[in-house]
Amino acid sequence: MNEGLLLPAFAWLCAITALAWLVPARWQPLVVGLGGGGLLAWYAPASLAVLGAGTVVSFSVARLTRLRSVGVSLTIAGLAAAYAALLWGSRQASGLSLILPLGMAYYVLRTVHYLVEANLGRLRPHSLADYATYQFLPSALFFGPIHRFDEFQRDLARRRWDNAVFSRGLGRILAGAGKIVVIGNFILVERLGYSAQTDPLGGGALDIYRHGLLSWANLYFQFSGYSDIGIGFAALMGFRLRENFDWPFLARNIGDFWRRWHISLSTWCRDYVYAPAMARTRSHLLAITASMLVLGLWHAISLHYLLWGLYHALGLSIWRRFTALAPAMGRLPAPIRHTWTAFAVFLTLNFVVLSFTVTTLVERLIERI
Amino acid sequence: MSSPARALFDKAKDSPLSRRTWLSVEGRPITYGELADSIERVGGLLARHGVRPGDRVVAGLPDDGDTAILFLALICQGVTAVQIDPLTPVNRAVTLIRRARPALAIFSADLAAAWCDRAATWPVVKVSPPPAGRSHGLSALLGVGKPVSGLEVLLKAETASSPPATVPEETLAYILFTSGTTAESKGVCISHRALFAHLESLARVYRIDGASRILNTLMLSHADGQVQGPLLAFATGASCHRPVRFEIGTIERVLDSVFQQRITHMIAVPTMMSLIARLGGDRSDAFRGGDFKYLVSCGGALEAGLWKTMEETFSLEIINGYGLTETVAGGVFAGGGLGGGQRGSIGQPVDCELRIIDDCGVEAPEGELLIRGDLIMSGYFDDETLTRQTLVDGWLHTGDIARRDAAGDYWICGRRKSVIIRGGLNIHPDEITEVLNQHPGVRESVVFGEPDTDWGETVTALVAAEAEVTAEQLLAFCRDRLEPRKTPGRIVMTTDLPKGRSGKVILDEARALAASEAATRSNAGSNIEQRLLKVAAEVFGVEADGLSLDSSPRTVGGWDSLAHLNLVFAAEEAFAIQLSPRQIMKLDSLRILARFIESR
Repeated sequence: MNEGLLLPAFAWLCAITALAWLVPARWQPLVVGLGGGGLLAWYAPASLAVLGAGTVVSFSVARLTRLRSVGVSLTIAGLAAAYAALLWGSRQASGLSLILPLGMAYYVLRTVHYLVEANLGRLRPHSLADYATYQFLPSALFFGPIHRFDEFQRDLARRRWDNAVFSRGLGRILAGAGKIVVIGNFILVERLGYSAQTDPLGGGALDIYRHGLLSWANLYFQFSGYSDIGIGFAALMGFRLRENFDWPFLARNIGDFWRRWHISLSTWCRDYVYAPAMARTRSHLLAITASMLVLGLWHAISLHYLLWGLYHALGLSIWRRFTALAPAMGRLPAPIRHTWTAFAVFLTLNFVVLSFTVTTLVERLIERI
Repeated sequence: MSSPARALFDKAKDSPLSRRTWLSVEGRPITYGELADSIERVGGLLARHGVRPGDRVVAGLPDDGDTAILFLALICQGVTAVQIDPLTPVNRAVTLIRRARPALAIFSADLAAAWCDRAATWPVVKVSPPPAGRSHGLSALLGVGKPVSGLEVLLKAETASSPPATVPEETLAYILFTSGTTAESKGVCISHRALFAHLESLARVYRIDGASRILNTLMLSHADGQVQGPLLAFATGASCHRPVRFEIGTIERVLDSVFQQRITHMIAVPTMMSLIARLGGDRSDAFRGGDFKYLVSCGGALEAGLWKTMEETFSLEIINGYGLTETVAGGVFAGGGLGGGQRGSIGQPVDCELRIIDDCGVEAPEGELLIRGDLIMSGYFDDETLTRQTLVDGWLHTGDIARRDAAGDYWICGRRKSVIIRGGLNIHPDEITEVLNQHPGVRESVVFGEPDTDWGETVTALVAAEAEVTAEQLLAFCRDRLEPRKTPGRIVMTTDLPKGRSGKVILDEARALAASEAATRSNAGSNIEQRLLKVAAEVFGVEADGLSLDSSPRTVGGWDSLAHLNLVFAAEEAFAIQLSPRQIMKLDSLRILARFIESR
């Protein structure tokens, strides 16, 4: 998002927050949904039209009494194909001038979740207004987290003014802004000289490692900062969003890392890719590979993210084999266990930090071949 | 000095209480000011019909808000309120109204048409349904208009008449007809003295004040619904909330309301708690909103296991109240901040004295529980004999068998009376037997309660009937003549009832006969169920006792998609089956998994 537009967006969210408590109670959720739609319309009216139409279609499909499974399957397939095509097209320098609708990345994941749950008969009764408000919740529109419809419905039923929650929401927004502005923009970029334009494989080994480390740190502070702001604004409006990060740099293994990093996306993949793939194939390797490929390619349809997905799938599979040793590790003397834990944290962090470096290296090798 | 009712009315009329909510029914708030206004206008209505303090007025309205307003208004006006449940079958309602000999009847238009026969000698005020539409103009567009009730429309035309300044303490506040055969249904008479003394006790025990918000969805035609709801709120300046009728499908909404409305006290019967414990697991934080104080259990024995489960799962404190319709609502309390009362006990008396006597009327360690205090009823309406049998020297004979432990806590061990308590509501078996025996094909029948984990007890009938009569026919016959809650859950057909030499039915043998039939049906399923619960308990790392076939991802912590797969794979291995991918994804409770296993 253009950073120059952030301040007006911030002001808009503040205005929606105020209105969401001032209008009569029955209109408050609608104000929140319309606020999200308004925000989208302001940035990209065409995106609002596309996502709005998709919302009506997915709502209608979820309510089908006959052939719902077929409808859900076709809609998910169509949505995935459209997203992949738009994602692919929007990255091309020439040729088709496709533009990915703003907010579509998270919208696609929310919609797939909604349709699958509808197909399994797990959705509670709701109106189109409820569903549209869920899809256009302004604080989660562009940066997630990928919240779930049942959680949203519960919040809708429980929504109430709460001084403590409001105060915590403000604190969360400040913390998020601090992560982005102070740690990300000032320390990492201005002081330590991180630049996304730098060649990740340029310079000596230490430079490459330093770049990988700064790149990952910047990504974490920027992304978790935006998540904090989203969670904070949702709290101001009376909604609770899932946590998206849980100290990922303290992960003890790669499985642990994916329970701490972009949690809402990894749990989405677990529920809607890994579980069905595992149920169908009974193969952990295939299921985890499918999950990590979807997770990677969701970011961009490119060789780089394909390799990145495979890199993590490989890491998770190796770690799974290693877990067989876990009981034996538990029986080791405490000093050895603590040393091992520290080493495991270091190893996991470096596996993650080097993921972009390694995949960039392999990508270039493939391109040369 | 003015009567308690008048003092509370004056408070309700005064600012700032008048602007606060007294009762909220399904989103329709009624302020204390509106209540005070309605009380005055009901006064005008009563005066217009020549009703004087001490007279009886029968009321039957389907709208909970109107029912609560009218009940309280009649009490404040010094008139004895006789409330008839709108679901009461016509024959029974007509008999009860006749027995009450009211000075006035106030019914909804449809109930008036059904209940008032030509022989009725009392005037009837009909409350018509409210006009269509809620509000008009801009307020309707903005959703700020309030729904209008039928009683509200009726009272608009009445002049205001303040309640009497004094009401003699012995004046009957209300008469509540309890369950029983139509001829034997007892009218429990509660005086102003008993009512207001006990409301004060309830407020003290529950620590209710003007800032409290009470959630009570129990039926208003029963003491626990009225007294521990709208009346308790009125007596304390608190607000009472009835967000939705409590049913299996609305449990989540009720729990969400606890959080959203910042409820401080919830009044519930053990059946509701059992359902909440089973089906409300994913709302376990509903009581952790920072405001909740006590969950009050009433209307039946609260089993120690359920008590523990509720307190631990939902992080709340329970107060277990013991009382009868004859003691207004409670009298003996356990738990909460009372400093006594072990789980499973009824605790200790708060505003009454207790005695335990044996069959000879001598004090005994275990025997019938007797209660004495201001909270005791004045007697049974128009039944001197029964009143003399039940109230002896000021002691109320409860019919419950109790014992007292070394710590001073009282425990209920059984009942002398054959009352069935289903979901906190008393059901007299004779009332159902009376109906069954009216069927031309039935020779004789006996009705009793059977233990049930959710309802406390369910109604079972053992019937000796002609060969062509089926249980389904008898169920349909009962449904037409009894309130839904009294219709037997199970009718077991037999050739003859087990009897002793005197010709009296041997109840224990009848129960055994009915139980053996149930056992035969359930044996086949129980084996799979037990094994499956064990498998699931291992997968989820919980005790098998904490799981049931109704356990689902919503109620079991940690049942995410990974644990889901682990459960499926473990069950497949244990039962040597393989589920299809679709079955795995569709699976959303242990019951469904058990069905898949059975089908293989």
